[in-house]
Amino acid sequence: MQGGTLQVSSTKGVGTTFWFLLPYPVGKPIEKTEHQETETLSRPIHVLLSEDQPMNQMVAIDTLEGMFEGIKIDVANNGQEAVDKSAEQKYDLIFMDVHMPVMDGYTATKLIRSSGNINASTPILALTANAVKEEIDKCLESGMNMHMAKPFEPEKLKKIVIQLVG
Amino acid sequence: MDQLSQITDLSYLRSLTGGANDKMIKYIRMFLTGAPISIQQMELYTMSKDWSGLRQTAHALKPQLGYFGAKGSEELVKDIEKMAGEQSNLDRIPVQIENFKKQYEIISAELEKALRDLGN
Repeated sequence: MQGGTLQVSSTKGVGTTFWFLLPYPVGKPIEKTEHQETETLSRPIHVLLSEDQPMNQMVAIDTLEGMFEGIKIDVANNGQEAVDKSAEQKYDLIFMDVHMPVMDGYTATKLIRSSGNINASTPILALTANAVKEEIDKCLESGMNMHMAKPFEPEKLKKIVIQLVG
Repeated sequence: MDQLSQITDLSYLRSLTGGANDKMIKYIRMFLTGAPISIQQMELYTMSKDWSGLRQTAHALKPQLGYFGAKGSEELVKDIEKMAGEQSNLDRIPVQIENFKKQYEIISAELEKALRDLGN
């Protein structure tokens, strides 16, 4: 029996116990792959996409909807709209473009962080076309949690969203 | 079209859309509709010396070129954005816009061909 033993112990009027021993080598711990870690979120999320450029909006919406089942996405066309919407609705994550008309992403982020409202501590992910160090530093200084360059890599975006929300 | 003079590379768009033709067509059409307006705006902003408007328009156009793998054109627009943002080398801005317009002619021809290849 695969090199093992089967034993039985019985006492009249009490009961019977069967047991067996099977010799197996000790296995290695199962390592989680990157793919497993970033597979999906455990619940549908509601996010705010602050982006003024229609094509960038569409790319982000299509990509996020393809990645996360049940995701709800509100769109703000500039920083002021982002501030206004974040005062009314609790979000799991806010995507923030930096250079937008009316109000830029840095100012919008500072206002959201200092508002004390329902999204004051919501993760904010900068999505910007400039990946230079000064701009990344400025994003973080304004209160954004992370930075991602556009055009973004979908798998990297997925990983970051899960890291910030999951 | 000569492979060597090809400006665009749709491999990123293909990866982004998972190869879905309808999405690729949608993005290409959107770009071909919006880019000429952006070029016109850049010219108008340059004429009126509205460097903030020019920087903003160039900044918004830049990642769109990235979607279509037009790296050289992306750099060119980045240069326009930088000059407008820093208000430096202002005499070079009209030259760079003209250079971009020439590149856009090739880009649009390539993307129109891509649309035909995608069955649209």
